[in-house]
Amino acid sequence: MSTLAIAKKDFQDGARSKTLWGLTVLFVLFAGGITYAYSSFDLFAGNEEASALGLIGIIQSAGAVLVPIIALLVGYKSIAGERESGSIKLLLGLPHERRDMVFGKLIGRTLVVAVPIVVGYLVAAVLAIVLIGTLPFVDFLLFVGLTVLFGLAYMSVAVGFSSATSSTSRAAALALAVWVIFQIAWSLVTTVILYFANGQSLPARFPDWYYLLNRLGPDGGYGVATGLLLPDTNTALDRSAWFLQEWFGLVILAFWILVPVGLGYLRFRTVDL
Amino acid sequence: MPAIELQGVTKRFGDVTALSDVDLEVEEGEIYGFLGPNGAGKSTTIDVLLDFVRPTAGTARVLGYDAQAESVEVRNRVGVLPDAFDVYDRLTGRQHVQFAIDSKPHADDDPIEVLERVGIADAADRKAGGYSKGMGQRLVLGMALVGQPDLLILDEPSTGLDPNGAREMREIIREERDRGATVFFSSHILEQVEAVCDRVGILRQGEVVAEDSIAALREAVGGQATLTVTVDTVTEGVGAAVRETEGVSEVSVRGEQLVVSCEDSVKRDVLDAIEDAGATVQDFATERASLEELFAYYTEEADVQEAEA
Repeated sequence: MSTLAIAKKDFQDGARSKTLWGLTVLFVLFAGGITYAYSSFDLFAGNEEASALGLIGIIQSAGAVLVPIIALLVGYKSIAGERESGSIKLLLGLPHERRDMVFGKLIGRTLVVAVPIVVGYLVAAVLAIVLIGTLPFVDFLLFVGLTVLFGLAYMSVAVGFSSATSSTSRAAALALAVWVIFQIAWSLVTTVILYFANGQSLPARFPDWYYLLNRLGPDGGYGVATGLLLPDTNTALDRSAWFLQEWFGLVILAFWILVPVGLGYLRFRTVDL
Repeated sequence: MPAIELQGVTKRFGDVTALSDVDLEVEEGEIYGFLGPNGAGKSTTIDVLLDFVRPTAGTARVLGYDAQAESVEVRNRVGVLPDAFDVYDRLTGRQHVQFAIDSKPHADDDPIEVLERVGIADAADRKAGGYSKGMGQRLVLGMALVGQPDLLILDEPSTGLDPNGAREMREIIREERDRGATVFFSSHILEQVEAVCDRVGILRQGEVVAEDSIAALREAVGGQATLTVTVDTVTEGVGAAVRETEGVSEVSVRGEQLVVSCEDSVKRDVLDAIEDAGATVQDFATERASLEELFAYYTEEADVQEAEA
């Protein structure tokens, strides 16, 4: 109840700031634009089903770039910003646990990102049915849900850092570091690790652990889990290790949803405001 | 059961001691003024009561609950007007009050009635980011009143208010006390405290140096008075004669005026001393000790005791 009161207030704040509307317009243009452009090239020569699945794959890849940066931007000030301005004294002068504040913020800010994702992707779905002629609707809805969980994972990182530090600039720097590591540097990092682990050369057959390491970030988890919905995508890997199955992507995503915000809360729980 | 009970509360931030062994007791149903200069530790004390900071040593109880372990129970029953807060710029006044109502399990106030009481109902649907400092202060006082709290904790409540606003604030404080609430408010403005408080505690450099009713504090200072005497010519002899009079603690000269701090009972002696020294008294006025002087008396007294110890 307390968590929800904070989530509601935070969502209203986001809605009032026009962030919500701006992001909704952005996602409608983004997903709708991709769908429109995609349908103008008849890549699958009349195979409507393959064509629709291909569209989801493209939206997934593009969303994997767009969603993290937006989640981090919407979330990094969530707690540290209230500490800087002093509005936290209003919030915690009311009968809320600090836990309610952290998780209420997580929910409220995730909604600010989730509503644009859902609206934008639903517009894309309608366009796809009109322009391509078909869409695996249930799979698409699950895909939208998965994308929201992906946004939640990055929001967990943003809110986690924002709770662990008293300054928004530090929270921003930490969020940026995570973005660079997982969006830009991760595959390089893992390859370098493999290179040294293998005695300064790359093996002919990459070991299972390398693939696991490669997908341990939130992006990896999201990409792998999408494979559950899209058969034969490029994330599919012919390995039998249990941790390289597609369902394990959900475990990785769950880790990123729970752990960063959890650690941030543990730090925030006892700090002097 | 006292409304607020601090026992041996010490708070250190690194090397800085913000509070040192503070004992404090606020009775239920009274208006308690918490007085001290800026930086004395008033806000830190309030932060301890609300669990914004954790004391290094000592215990704090509010309305019978442990301020650390049972902080949500405390804040369920307390209304807070903090200092150095910021409102949520993009939320309206009404949304702020609604948030306070949503946050308190037993509150069923009407947001507009709350805003009417603090005098900003006209601005209910405007974003609070556009409010003046005084309006923000009224808004947060309104949030503090939500749910009929048993205890109001107000940190420098008159900040940003014009004299009229400060008077309305005092009226609300009295209304709340008459409803049965305890009011604890901090201030460095003595008139505010004097006008409304039943008892005062004086905090100086993290220590409580005095705690009593205002009348008793006056009594303790011993009926001090300030005598302002206008004479025809101020000579060194006049100043010296006054200074030597028994019961005089301080003399300063402002042009043709002598400002004399002395015991109430020796005013006649002072006037006699001036005439005996050859000056003619043209006019004089007396004032009883102001809280400002009370305050100086107590803080300096503490210095003396420290030096002796």
